[in-house]
Amino acid sequence: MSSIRFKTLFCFVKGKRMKSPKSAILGSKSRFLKIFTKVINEDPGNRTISRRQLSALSPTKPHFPNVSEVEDEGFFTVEDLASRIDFLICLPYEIAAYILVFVDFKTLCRMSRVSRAWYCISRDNEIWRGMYTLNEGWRHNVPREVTLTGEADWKLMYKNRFILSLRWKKGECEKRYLKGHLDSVYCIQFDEHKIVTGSRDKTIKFWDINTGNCFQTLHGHDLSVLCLQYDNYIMVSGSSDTTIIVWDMSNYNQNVPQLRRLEGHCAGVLDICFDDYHIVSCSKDSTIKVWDVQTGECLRTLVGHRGPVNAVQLKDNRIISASGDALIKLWDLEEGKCIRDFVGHTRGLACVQFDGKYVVSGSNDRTIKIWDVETAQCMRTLEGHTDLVRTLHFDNDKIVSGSYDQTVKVWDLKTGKQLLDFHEGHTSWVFDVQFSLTKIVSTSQDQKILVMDFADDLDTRYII
Amino acid sequence: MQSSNTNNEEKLAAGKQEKDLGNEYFKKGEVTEALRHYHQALLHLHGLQNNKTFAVFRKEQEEEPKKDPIQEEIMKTTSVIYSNIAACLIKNQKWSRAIDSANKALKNDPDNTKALFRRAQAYINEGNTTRAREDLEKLSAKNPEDAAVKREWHNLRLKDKEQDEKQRRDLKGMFERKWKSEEKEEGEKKSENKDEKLTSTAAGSSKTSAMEPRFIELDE
Amino acid sequence: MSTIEQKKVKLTSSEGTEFQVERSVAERSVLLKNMLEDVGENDMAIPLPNVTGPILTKVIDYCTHHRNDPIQNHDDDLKKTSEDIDDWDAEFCKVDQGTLFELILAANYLDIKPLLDLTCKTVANMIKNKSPEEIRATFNITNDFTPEEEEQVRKENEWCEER
Repeated sequence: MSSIRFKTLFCFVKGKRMKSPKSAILGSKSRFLKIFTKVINEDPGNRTISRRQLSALSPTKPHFPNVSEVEDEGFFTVEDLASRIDFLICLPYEIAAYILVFVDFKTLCRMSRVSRAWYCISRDNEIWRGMYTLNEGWRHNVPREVTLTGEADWKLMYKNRFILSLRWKKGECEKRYLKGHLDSVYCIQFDEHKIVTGSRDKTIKFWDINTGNCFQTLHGHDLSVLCLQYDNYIMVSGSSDTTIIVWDMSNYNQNVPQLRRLEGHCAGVLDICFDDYHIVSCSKDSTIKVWDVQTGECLRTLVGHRGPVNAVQLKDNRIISASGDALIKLWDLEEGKCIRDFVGHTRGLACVQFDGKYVVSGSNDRTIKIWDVETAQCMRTLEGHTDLVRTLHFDNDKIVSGSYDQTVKVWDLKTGKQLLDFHEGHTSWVFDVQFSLTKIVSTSQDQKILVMDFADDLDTRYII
Repeated sequence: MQSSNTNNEEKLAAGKQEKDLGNEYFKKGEVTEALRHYHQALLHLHGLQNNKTFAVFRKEQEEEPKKDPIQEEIMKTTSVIYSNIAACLIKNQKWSRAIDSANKALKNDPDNTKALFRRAQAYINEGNTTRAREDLEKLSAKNPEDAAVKREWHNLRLKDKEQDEKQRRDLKGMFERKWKSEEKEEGEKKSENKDEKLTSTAAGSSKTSAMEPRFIELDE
Repeated sequence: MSTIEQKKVKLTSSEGTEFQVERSVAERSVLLKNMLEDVGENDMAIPLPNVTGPILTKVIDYCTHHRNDPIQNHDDDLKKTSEDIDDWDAEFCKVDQGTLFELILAANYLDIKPLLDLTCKTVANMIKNKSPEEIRATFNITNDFTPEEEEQVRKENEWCEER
């Protein structure tokens, strides 16, 4: 009797290690049955065996500690026990992995707690890669070579992306302030490396996004810097001094020299936007000007608004402008003609963004409106701010807005529902806001720049 | 399914036997008989492949992943069988089946150069020059001097030329047809006499309601 | 379907039991389909040494029921669900685990993708929404973690439980 080593179905456990894989894999079902039946053939009429009997037979720890307490005194039939199989051990790896394709990520995680073999298989990198890539809205930029060598840890990526989403949902972020400007900070743009801000103190400052250190301060405007935009090559800034300066960004770590100054507006330049061919600027003088980005020549002036034009956006040769006259206008850049008006706001507009399909606007009437650019219909109105909506930014899923009510709010683009409300960040009017996958950065009359980081201490290397 | 190792050995032996028979028939030129035996071989060997489980598990246990020689042989033999099936199918001019077989051969043994070669051949004949080029490049990287590979490069160039010719002929035909239909349209238009009233684009009704002074006196 | 009697194909299981099926049923198996296409039919039985009689019976049952299904294309890019099993299929899979796994192996051997999908989905459904303890009980798995390891793995995975 003692020579019969009791085998758990398909799992040999001797001490901590798996014995030899040969016997582990497939003691086939019939072989197991032979031994089992031999054991209980001591009492041929009895086709059942109690848990205690089973435990008594095992040389190591009890083999069925996982049966619930209710079955503590339970009996097992031969067929029943013989029939429960740890399939991970008896199926070829590829097939076992195929089964996992059909489970969700939560189950996969729970599976890794079942046993060592299950831990291995549930960590399969390919399965987690499938999980990540099939998740709607999640993107990555893992280069192909890295995918092929299997270096990217997809489960870790999934985990980090998941935690990031969860933090956005709950509004959990690290808050940091960048101080240095001597007056209101009117405008901002940022990327993975740097933050660039323009201020009433007439300067433009560059900040290292990781350390918060200000490494560049540009002087050039004679009055407040009201707006700016940059890419890898140039930066364009507009000012109360009615001029626009084009700066050289190719070597921004060392220096940012001025390339040219565009003059033409008769009042402060309130907003600018540029692409590969044109710079578009709008002004308190109620006009919009189109400039050649290479030469700086003013190509045309768009007239039509009856009040200061506060915001302008450019996409594919179409211009969207928003004005204190409560109108949004869509213009054709080449012809310089107004195509249509967007009517709906009851007070002047402060900000607008346009992605080619949708227009989102913020107004002194405290609302945010979402418009279809082709029909000029207002699709949705978002209420919640208690003062002028001064700035906004949107992507495929959400809108982030900043207001004179000192709050920054996050809204769901599709449903219009208010998701988050940050009201302790600033102590005065919010002037500009921008967000990325991992951060929201806002600036204010209180001279501070607030960085809200949702990915603090998360590895977001390939997550975009 | 009985898959203990002794059983696997038996099946491997049976599979190899069938494969050898198949090879003989192929040499004689009897493709169908060869295929029959190759398929019989597969009936013995298919589904036995299981090369990963232990490697993974053992890695976690920090042991050297031991290779199971029987498993390796099973995979290699299966690969050869699929590759030979591909050869037969190429003889029968069944290109897409040949590609399918070659793919299965490569799945079992990624280093099976013959299978890669046969896939390239099938791609060329099927007209998929892009994939053929990729495969030939891999082959050339391994064996730059191989005469057979060089022949296939030649075949690929011929196929490319053939496809270019066809494309040119097709486009030419397409343009001719297009011009003809455009002329027809022009004729029809001239015979129409419609006045099209240009509807003026409705300018946004000017709201002269209170213009907001821009709340920014701040920009001074 | 044509009114002409479909030609029958003879299959032999590993123990030697012979089965006769119509060609269209046999062709649900890509392994057999390719063979029949390349070699043609004859009166000899096709030996299937890697599947036993009882399992082959079940497989033939499945293929006969699904003989008129359209051939599915590879849709690897779609998110796979395990919720879409119809009633007949669900009933078909109500077998003990041993049989279920043998069915998986047979489907893999004979290359019958819909049956492989069905059986794998069934197993997936047996795992889903269970705690690790429940999974162990379902499949009779021994917990071979040390208490420290178990705690470590639990901590490693606690992020997935957050909502």
